[in-house]
Amino acid sequence: MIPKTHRNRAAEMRNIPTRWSAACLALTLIASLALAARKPRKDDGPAAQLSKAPARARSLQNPFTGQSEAAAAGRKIYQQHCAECHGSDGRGLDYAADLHSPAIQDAPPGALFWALRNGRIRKGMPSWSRLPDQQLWQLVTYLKTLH
Amino acid sequence: MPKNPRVADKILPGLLAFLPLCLGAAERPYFVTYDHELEEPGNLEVSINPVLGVPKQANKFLGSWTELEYGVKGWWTTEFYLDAQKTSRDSAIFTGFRWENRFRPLMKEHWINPVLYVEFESLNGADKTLLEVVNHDSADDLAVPNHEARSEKKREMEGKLILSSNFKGWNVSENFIAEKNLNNNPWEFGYAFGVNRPLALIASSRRCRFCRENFRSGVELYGGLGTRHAFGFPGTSHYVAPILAWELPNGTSLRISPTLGLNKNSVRTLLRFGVSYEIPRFDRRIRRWFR
Repeated sequence: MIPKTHRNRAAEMRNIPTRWSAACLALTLIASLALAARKPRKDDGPAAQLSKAPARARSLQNPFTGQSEAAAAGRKIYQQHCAECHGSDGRGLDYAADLHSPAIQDAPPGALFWALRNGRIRKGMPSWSRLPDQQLWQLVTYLKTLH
Repeated sequence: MPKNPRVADKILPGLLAFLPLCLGAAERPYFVTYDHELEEPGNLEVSINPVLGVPKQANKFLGSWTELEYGVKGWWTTEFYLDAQKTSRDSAIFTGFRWENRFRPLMKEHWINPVLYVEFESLNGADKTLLEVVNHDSADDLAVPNHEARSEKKREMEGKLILSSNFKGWNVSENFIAEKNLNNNPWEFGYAFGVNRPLALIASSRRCRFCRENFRSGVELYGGLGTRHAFGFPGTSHYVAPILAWELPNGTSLRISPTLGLNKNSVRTLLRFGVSYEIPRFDRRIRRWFR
């Protein structure tokens, strides 16, 4: 027969991982809430990001340039995925970039395509690589109509 | 509050089921496999995922998990799951919770994009969501009556290596699963593989519900790989599951996946459904509370 003290110790040992897990859970929940409540820092703007686009990406041509149908489709995609942060008029909300700014309007279409595909994950802009390339180009076509 | 608690039991799940129709969402089409897409920062997604199972030598069951997914940062998503099940000619019970975190180590898009996944789960043996198939999990486990199965406590840590690629509209994702019961059991392994694509790559210019670009179809393949002491396919169960996802213009996402067991250890047929909705910029709402 196992002595009572040994049984208690065994039960305690079994509880240790649960306690650790509960502590980790609590800490992460607190960290998530703190990060969520924190106001994001103003970032260094879209120009810096667009300048990082590799030459190969910058040289890509938009297959939908000047097509009003593609711009209308791009507007639809914009309203579905982007308007939430950049505003329905593209003027930017909170910390999201103003899409009418010269940095964006003067950027080569290939650089915009690259920026949409890669996002700025550290700054909160998601990667839109899940959208097919054609839809990203439609979005670029629409963005170029915003000036 | 309705006087009859049974009425409340029926009304509340009904309301919860229809709530998604009013809000927005963008959910991955897979049920089991993960791709490298994380929740947008600040967004909270709520998802309800029932699974109907028809095992050969056990009672039919309806498992369900409710999922709360929050984008903490662009590279970090945290999720909380509540699991429950109802077995035909048996009881309906709450089976436990899971809490997972996914981290994206690379900030740019690559040919193969890794994501690290860490999960803690506290479930009992009666859980029937079949969300992860590892070890030698088999259909026979589902034949145990709820009152017996729920006495088995499973506190487990799980890690996944998620590898995912997007190419020409296709998404290809592979997950390698390693799970450890914290009560000194050996490591258990599993895998999941998924591929999907939208039905149209070019978006139409008009706002429409039934446009082909709103649908994604694909297939998932997943199963167990044994334990550290008995690694491999013998005695494990495997499933193949075609998937169809429909993203409505208002953002609501609906998914369905008829799942077929591939060997005698697997449940013969499963039917998975998923409805999800997103509360955009939930972080702003929290900030407003603290002002």
